[in-house]
Amino acid sequence: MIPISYYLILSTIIFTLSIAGIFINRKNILVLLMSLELMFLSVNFNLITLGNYLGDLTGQVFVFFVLTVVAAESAIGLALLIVLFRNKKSIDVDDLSELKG
Amino acid sequence: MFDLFYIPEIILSIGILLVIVIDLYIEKQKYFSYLLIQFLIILASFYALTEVPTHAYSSYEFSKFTSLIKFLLLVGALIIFHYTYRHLNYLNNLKIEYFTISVLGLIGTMIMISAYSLLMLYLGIELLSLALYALIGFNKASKLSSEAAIKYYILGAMSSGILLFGISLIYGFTGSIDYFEIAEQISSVNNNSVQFLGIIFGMIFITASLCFKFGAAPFHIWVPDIYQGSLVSTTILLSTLPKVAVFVVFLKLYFIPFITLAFIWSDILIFIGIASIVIGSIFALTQENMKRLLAYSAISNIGFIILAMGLVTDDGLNASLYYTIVYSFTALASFGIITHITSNSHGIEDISDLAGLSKTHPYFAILILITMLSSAGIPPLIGFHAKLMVIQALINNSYIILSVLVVLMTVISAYYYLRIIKTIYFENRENLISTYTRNNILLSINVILLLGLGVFPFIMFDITSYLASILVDISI
Repeated sequence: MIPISYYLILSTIIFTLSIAGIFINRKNILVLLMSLELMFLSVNFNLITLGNYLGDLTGQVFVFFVLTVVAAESAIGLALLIVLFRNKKSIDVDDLSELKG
Repeated sequence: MFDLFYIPEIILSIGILLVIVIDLYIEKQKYFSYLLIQFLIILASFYALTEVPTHAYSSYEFSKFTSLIKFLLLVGALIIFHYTYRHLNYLNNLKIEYFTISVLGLIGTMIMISAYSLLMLYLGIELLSLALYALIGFNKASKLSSEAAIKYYILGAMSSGILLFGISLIYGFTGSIDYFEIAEQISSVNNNSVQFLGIIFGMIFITASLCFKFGAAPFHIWVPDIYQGSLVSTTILLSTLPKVAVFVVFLKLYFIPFITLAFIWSDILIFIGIASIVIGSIFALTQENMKRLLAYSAISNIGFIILAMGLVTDDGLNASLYYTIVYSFTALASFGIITHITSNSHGIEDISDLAGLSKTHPYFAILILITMLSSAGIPPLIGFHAKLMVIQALINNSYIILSVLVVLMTVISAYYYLRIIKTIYFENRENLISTYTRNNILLSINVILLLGLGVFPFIMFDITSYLASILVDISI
């Protein structure tokens, strides 16, 4: 059987990659949204692994809540992206620079 | 008899769905739908005050403390909607959805306050954040508004992810998401084990995420941008309701499950508090935009709250409660005034827009004068007592150097509050300011209370020490 630490290390690596994706990416907002999804998936992976390890259903129930909330969240995010594109004709990260002071 | 505990939440959630449907049929009469929403909030606040809750520990908690805080939030929302309705109407941007989404966010704050398990906490925070994303991007034609919305969305979703990662670690290493069981588990853990390390990591992740939601340094980058980009009516909402709710979440998280880790989080909170005060005070000096300036002022005020909480003593707790209530009251007044005046038929943007206000609109000039003096901490206004209590708590716990630093930063921050007053009273320039009303009774009462409660501070002392005493009942 694979020890639990392997699962935790894998989910931490995915989590770190998604954070790096948000901060390093300087091109496109869509890629940022993908990184966000990846982050939530790594958290779900973590919750399921730990719930299974503890023999407790709470972690798996938690995952269902997270999935629904994240679906709603990404719907709002895409809607905001469309509004942004209508106003600016671009979804580049570099163009998000009008608010400064 | 079937106990109905959730009455305020039930009234709001069912009522708001009805309002959405009713509004479809009477699209022309927006004022009627608005009155309906106000009526719902009054009804909910009435029940929040009259129901006598017994302590109930499940994933949702009822106590005198949560009921009182909910009552304060509902009254705050009532006042905010009163300020914003005519403002939006004047800007030709009035849609009843604005208020329905705000009420959904309000329900989110109520869930956060009552949450007694990490799952409920997460759901409440998300309900609030989803509403705020939509509200910030509400001004669809504006580039600034949509840019602010997408920035807040990306950073907000990231902080939710960090919160969830922290929750998953806490769940994995304590085996529960219930506050009380987590507290029991943590108190029995050996300080040198791997389990302890995992719990500490989880706590730090949760702290970072909550500090982001609070707008405290070093997670404050979003605050000025979002305050500037959104409508003033959204800014007033952002700077009051979520702050109170997140403050209560801080209190409950740190004083119930994480109380045995106080030796670790106390230092973290003191560092965050000092950093917020310094950054908020210094960066505000060069701001020309009114909303950005008030955003930095909000950051430094949040710093005071977190600093007082980080002392982990009774007087620190009292001071932070006092400061939170005073801060939200002052923010309500200062943003409320800005919703009432417009320059060149836009909202007020630059400080220089206000030049010569004392000649053309003396009523609003005097209101801004009182509010700014209160924020600067000039006695006998209420802001002075709030700052005094925090500094007193610092000295009582022998943090002398920190208290000197805090006083210095207060002096620096007085400069930019006084600069606004100078622009209003001593710069004679043509301005394009117009208002839709000569005066507003509720706004006047709000500002006069800043003065009145400052002259008779013991009223507020009594209220906060009562709140603190019933809070102590809850925790363990």
